[in-house]
Amino acid sequence: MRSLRAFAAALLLCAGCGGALLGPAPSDNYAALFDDVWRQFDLHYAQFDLRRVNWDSVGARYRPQALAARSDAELAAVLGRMLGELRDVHVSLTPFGPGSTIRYVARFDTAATNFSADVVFERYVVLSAFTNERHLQYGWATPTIGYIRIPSFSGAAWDGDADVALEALKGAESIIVDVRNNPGGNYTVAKSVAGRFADDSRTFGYLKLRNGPSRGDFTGYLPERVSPDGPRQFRGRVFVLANRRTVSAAENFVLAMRALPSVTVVGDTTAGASGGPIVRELPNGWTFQLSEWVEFDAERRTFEGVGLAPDVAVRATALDAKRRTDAVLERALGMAR
Amino acid sequence: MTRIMAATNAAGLTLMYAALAGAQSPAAGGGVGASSLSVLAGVAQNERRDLTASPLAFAGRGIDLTVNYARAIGSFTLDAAVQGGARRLASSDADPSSSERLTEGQLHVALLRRIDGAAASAPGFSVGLALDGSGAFTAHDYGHAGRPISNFVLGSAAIGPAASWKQRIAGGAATIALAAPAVAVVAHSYSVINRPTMGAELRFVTPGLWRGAGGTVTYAPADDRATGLVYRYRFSLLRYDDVQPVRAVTQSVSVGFTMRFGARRS
Repeated sequence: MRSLRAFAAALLLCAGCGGALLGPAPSDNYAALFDDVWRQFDLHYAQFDLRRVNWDSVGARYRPQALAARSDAELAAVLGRMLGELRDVHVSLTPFGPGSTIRYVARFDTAATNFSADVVFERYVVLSAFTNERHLQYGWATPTIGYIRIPSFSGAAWDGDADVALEALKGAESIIVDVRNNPGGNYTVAKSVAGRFADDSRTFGYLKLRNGPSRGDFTGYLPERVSPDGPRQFRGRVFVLANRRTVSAAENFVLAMRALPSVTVVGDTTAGASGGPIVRELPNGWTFQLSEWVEFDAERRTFEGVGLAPDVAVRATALDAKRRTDAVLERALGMAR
Repeated sequence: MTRIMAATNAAGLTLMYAALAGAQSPAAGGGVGASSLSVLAGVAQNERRDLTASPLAFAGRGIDLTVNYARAIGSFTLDAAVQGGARRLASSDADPSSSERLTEGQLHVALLRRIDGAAASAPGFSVGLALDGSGAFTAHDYGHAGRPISNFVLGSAAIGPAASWKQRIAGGAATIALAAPAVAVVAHSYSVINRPTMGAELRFVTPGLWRGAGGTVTYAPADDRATGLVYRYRFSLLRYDDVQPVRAVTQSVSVGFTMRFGARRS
């Protein structure tokens, strides 16, 4: 029995030694933090070539500034400036928790779109309602034309809300789906909502994902497909409204929808910001985000920084906004009637 | 850790060669088959640093379940175990808002032979080969508002030397078993896998990149008992020197029930 006790004591001692085998905790001095950020981008960022950025020289330029930083705030500012060199809205640094995110502000971020959802629901759409968690707002533009507004694709697994809206709009001959000023969000949700309008499985674009440590390490062209999704699909005519502030996952949605034969895209060119962002973290708890893919349309042309052009171009003006009219919606309604 | 693992691998390979050479001669003693089936449940402690997900180390505890089948035939023992569990891990380096949920499983099959040719069930030293398949699925939550949880995988199949030593203690039998991979096929995601068509690529890796060791210390009833309680301590160490390296330590303490079938005496 004595040897059994000794055996149990030895096991308890072993149980405490696991952490030592993982090696020392990573350093969180400014040099180490800078090097970690730079290295993570080096390993994962997908758009150096696309954006013509020499990451080595960027690192060499900013590293001395990071080492000279006298506070966390100064270091965050240096890192923010370095990441800004990529001119990519999917690249960001969040040093001090919610509300502290530093990211590049693109031209489309401040573009005047002259769009107001209030005007839509005050002047054009009646009997409007929200789905349960307000992911979608829908109603009737005319007795035969339904309207669905998707303000954002943020959140997960709410694509079923589209079924609720489509059920409420049962009997519509046409539906207008409005993703203007939609900043994006969840790619999977966007694709799944597009599936509510799909008649068949169709390739709508391609992705190349960074998959190795060399900056040229990418997968081949990986097809993106939109397929019928949900309990039933709407088979009438569909008009998708987009503008300069239709961004990221919302652009994936436009890209998927325009592959469908029943869909016409109306409005302005989208932002041109895909990217497939992933999140990383630093030893001091700061997080950052970077783009890990390059997306292409069905003809294998990248639209990063360019945007997706509409089928029917209509640009809302400041006068429209002043008069509280919606020229883009009016054009879609005219085509749907 | 590297030196320990390298030494384990080298010693194991030498012993494995000796055992296989010994197997050329007729086995002495034993010759009668005996089997045991054990079901164990316990608590596991995981500590890991997977740079694919984070530079930080994460640690935590959770349940650990094991089903173990062993069969002795002459001087040979076939030992097969399936084990798995889920744990919730928090950073042990710093205090960020991130956390991990780890789900892992392992299949271990070892064929061992007594080096002295005696019956497998008798106290003594055995060596042989072990095949280990393992999979770890990590759901990493960066605590980043608006971003989904990022998933990563690490799977492997490895073959390498194994050894065990059995000794009668306090009316029962204690067995120490060790195994170390010599070569492995590894699937380690380069980045998050909850992305369209992003997966893990298979790589064939040598001991220079994939180093590890695993083992158990088991205390079971004496061989002449048909049933009884079984106690087990298990550990596994892993060091994978990928572009984004992984280091992991798992330890568990379990208790369970064992049933024996067939001949029980050597």
